[in-house]
Amino acid sequence: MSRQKMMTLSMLAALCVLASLAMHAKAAGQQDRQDQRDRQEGMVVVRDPQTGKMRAPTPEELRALRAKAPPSAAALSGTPPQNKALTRRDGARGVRLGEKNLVYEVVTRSPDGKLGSQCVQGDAAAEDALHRPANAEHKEHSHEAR
Amino acid sequence: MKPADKPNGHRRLQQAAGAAVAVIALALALAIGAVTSAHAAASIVIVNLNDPGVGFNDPTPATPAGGNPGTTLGQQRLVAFQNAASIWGSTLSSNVTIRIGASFVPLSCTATSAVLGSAGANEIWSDFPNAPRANTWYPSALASKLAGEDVATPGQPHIIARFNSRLGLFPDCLPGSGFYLGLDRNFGDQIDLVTVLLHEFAHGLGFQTFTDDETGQEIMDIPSIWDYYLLNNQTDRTWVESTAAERAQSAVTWRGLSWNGPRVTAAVPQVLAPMSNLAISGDAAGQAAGNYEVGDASFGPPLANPPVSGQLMPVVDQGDGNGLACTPLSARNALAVRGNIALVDRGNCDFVTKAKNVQNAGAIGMVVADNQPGDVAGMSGNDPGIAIPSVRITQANGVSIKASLQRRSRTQSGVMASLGINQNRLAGTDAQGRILMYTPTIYSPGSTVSHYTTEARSNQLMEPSINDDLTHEVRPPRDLTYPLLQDIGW
Repeated sequence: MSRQKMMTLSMLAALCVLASLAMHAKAAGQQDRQDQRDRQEGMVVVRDPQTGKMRAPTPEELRALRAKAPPSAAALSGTPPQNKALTRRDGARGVRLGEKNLVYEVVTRSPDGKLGSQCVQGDAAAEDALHRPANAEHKEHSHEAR
Repeated sequence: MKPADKPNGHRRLQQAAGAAVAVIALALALAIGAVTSAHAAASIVIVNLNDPGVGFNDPTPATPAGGNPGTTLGQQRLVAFQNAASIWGSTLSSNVTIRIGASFVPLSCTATSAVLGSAGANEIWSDFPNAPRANTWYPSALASKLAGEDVATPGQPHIIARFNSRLGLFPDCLPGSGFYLGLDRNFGDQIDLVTVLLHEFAHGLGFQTFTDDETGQEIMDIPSIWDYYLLNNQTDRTWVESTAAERAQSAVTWRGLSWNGPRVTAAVPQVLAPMSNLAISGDAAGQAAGNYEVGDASFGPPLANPPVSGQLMPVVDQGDGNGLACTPLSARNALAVRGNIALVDRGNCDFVTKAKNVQNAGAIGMVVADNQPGDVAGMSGNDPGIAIPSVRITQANGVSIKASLQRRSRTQSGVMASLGINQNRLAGTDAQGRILMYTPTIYSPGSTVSHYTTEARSNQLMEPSINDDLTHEVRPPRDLTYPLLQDIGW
């Protein structure tokens, strides 16, 4: 395997780590958890192209990795990151909310072609709802056809 | 989908006004590119976050339709957004312009399901100038209105709204079921974007708690303004007065949470219809006599006064004594139900088929007993040929009523069933007349108490499902969304 390929694979492995960390952070709701995960980015490693051994990335390599990492859906869509504490000079306290507090509208089509929708909170719940019939989890409240 | 209610005739004025403002706003949008605004009692600005060529800037040619004058896909999306913003703008009041950071972006999809969009408050604030309650979270749009100044972080929108740019346009994204971008609700088999936007914007304006539904935990141990009005009707304590564990439990307690705000409660009698009711009486009724809560059907006529009354006669077409009525009734069963109200069991076929079979046999009404434990639920389906009323009762109630039918002749049971309405109780309310909130018994991920109950009739904008009979109205006499926003400070 050429050094260039090894470097590419190393980069990809590191990107996976970054992506994994990003997904993990996405699920968090509290600022302290987010901070903790931000600090965990130091776990990223690269394979040294000269020695073939794993090591911590140089600042230049880390910048290159970050530049190559695909932007998150949040970044693409202009949504905020996770909860972030805010303050104002007048003493007001605030929080910039993250994905967990967004409300998602999900629609599913049943085998008979009918559309059903459900409104759920958080991106994880939205992903879950995509793969369930619209009324399956709320059947005691819904209007079933049979 | 819930049963459709008859459309109300006098609800177009506000919609038309909103559309007019939207047209003006579109012209402005085309002129300045990125930002449009609707000026009314409150100004709402749609901040276009899309890059050139995509989303709101998609140049794909489109034919003006349904009152939407846009000539590209991007323009029509923008007009629909502006229309929804205009409706809210003409309803709310604020000296601070509300900014909605909006975009059309690729969101999760499959061939049979899709995320339509998401929205919510971008920031929440407490202890801002003139805050009505100390140590309480308010969404930033509302906090700014109450403060009389913009409390949001400079450059930040008050509301975030993202919608699916691929919906209905690609084979892997619910093909054939895209957004209807017209403003006239003639959405057919499409998804009415304006209705979805009105719902999602309401969440962003404050129709949501920021307290975690699943755990009951507050953000930074500070309650939301919502939590002052969310009442556990079994303990008579609001969420503010409850522990985290009590909050979490109440969120999955059937009919366990009510909205205790004065504006909503005052408007409830104007908006909600009486609850449907099954009354059982007669010499042979015994312990089964009484009133029963029922699930409504989306087919056949709605229950009304005077009620449809007759002897209750069971269909028996199974070896265990049950009756499914999935096929045309036998002569014996037809004789039993003719001119009477048929009692059948749920299962094996859809409810419409059962209704059709008992109707064809001469029944004047149908009661369906559930075949599994659970709460009262409705019956969907559509067949304009169904002319008899139908209701659904719980399995437990079915067992009780069937017990009273053991001694009967081929044509008489001595048990009278009356399908009507309960004038003393409105659909979707608790015993004190407060509207119930959405609290599924079985926890489902992301289920949120920031919705009205699905038992409300007529269907409400802020139920957890978008029903196809919704109008674009957000205030009484059609809808209870605005009164709730008033309760929290709008």
